[in-house]
Amino acid sequence: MFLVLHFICLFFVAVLSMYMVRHYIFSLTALNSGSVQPQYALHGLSCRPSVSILIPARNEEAVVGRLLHRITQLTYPKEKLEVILIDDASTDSTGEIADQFAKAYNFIKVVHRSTDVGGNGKAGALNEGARHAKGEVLLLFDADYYPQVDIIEKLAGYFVDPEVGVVQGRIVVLNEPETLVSRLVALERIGGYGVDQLARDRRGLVTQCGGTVCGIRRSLLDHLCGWDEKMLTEDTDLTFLAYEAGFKVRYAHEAECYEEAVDTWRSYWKQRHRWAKGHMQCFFKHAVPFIKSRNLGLWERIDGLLVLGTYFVPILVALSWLLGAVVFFMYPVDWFSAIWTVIPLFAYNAGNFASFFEVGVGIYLDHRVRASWIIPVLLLGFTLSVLICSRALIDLTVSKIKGRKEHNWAKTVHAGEDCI
Amino acid sequence: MESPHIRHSSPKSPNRANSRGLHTIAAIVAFGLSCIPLWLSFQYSLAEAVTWLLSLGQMSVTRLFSAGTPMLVIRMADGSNLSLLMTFQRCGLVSITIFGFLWLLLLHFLKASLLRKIMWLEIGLLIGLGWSVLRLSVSILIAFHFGSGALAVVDFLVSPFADVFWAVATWSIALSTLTPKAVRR
Repeated sequence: MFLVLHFICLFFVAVLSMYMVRHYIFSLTALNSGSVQPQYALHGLSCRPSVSILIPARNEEAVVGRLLHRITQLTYPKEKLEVILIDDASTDSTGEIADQFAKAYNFIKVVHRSTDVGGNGKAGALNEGARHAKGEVLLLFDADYYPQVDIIEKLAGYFVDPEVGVVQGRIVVLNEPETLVSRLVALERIGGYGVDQLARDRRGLVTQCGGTVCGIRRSLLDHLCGWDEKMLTEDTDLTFLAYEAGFKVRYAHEAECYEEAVDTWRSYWKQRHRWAKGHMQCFFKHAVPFIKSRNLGLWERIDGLLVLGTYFVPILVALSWLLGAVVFFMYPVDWFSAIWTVIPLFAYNAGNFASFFEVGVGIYLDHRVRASWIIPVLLLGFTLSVLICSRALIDLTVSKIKGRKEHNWAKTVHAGEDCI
Repeated sequence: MESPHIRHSSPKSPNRANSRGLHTIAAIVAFGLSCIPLWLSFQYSLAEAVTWLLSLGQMSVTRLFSAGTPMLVIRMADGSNLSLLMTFQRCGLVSITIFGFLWLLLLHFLKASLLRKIMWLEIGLLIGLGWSVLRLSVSILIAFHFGSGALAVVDFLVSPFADVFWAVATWSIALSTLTPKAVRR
């Protein structure tokens, strides 16, 4: 019993240490390479494929007009651009606002989904939009986003490489100063995109598609038969399907898009709960096929497995701490003290899946100063993550046992306040 | 066509590489000179400081340096004695080590003058020492008033988290001050 408990605790600590070392390597990679990426027009070659922008929207009247107006300002040649807004059974005036834009601009189309067929989640809406899209590349934007005017050039440029199936842009929080929650989300985005994604891209590891501000090669999507509507995080699912199919996912750091982040704890909980549950779904779906995939190198497989397990980490930290307490008090041995006292450090490495030093390095690379002062508060995010991820795991297990389906919109309410 | 995954290495000037190498050696030396003496004397210095601080509050605390690890003997309110071994875990030496390594492995790589970085190493170690004195004193006060059960909770369950907190907070402030002024946003 004594030995088994020690062994289990040591195993947990070893796994958590792997995450920490990985985050450290990413931080160093980002620090050494800076935040400047290679030109998107590689070797002077420019890639201007035909592009279809898909905007799935359900009850987004507060923000959809802002995005559509911005899209009319994009510098990408309009003859190569079409915009498809999927009004997914909205009960507000989202559809009417979009219709007005469609009347004024011939490259904007609106697909209305009735309550009979629509409202079953983002993946369903995207599949509907993809059926109408004619572009070689599909770009996805959520309705609350606000892209740079030349974002398409920056994202589409990567498709010059035939191996690239998906390109992800950088997401920056627009409403950062509003509340403590939006500040914490902004920190997570800085660490997650400014360091983690950048470093994974540089090292040729598993770069993740975030489901928005991303471009997808049409041929890849056709090969995958669209988005899996059973998945809660269709973006993570797509990432792993793309790698398993032999494609690469790239990250375009210079392609920035601004989002309205959640600003209340309730919205934070709802959003993260969906992400956690979806990621766990993906873990069970992809862990084995990904490891067995012949299209991937050893480091890609290891990194992919760690990415898939990200949402288990907060649970693992809490478990190792509890188990450590039992071992520490009931079967004390000298060498265990060192391990026991290091466990809290892992809490900061699992705050929200971007380690505190990744966040710090990201802030440094963005030349910001005061944002780093709230890094210690990430501990709060970690505490919440333990609860969110535990709840997500329980919910997923229960829904598996009961055979419940998961495809519902987990809507984040957007205020659309003018902070631009 | 060349794959975008192929990284283009730009030739670095030998002078820059040399200066970076010297910078690293200087940082390692500074780290060693600051941390090793602290590690060797930390438990003793902490025992002295805590004894002095608690004696200001009229508490009877005796330090014993005869054994391999220093020990504090506290006269409790009920007249009994509580012996507190100054283990490295209880002393907060782990968090000081974590801060030292955070400095060496991350802050050292920032583009700032070596002197300012070393200054932050020293400030961090001083904060760690001060934090440990305060935390241990508070733990002993809790033990004095609520018994040794409360000490176990504070000492082993709360303290490790509190210790990492100061290390992360100090590291974050150091990071913000080491951002070059010319590019600050």
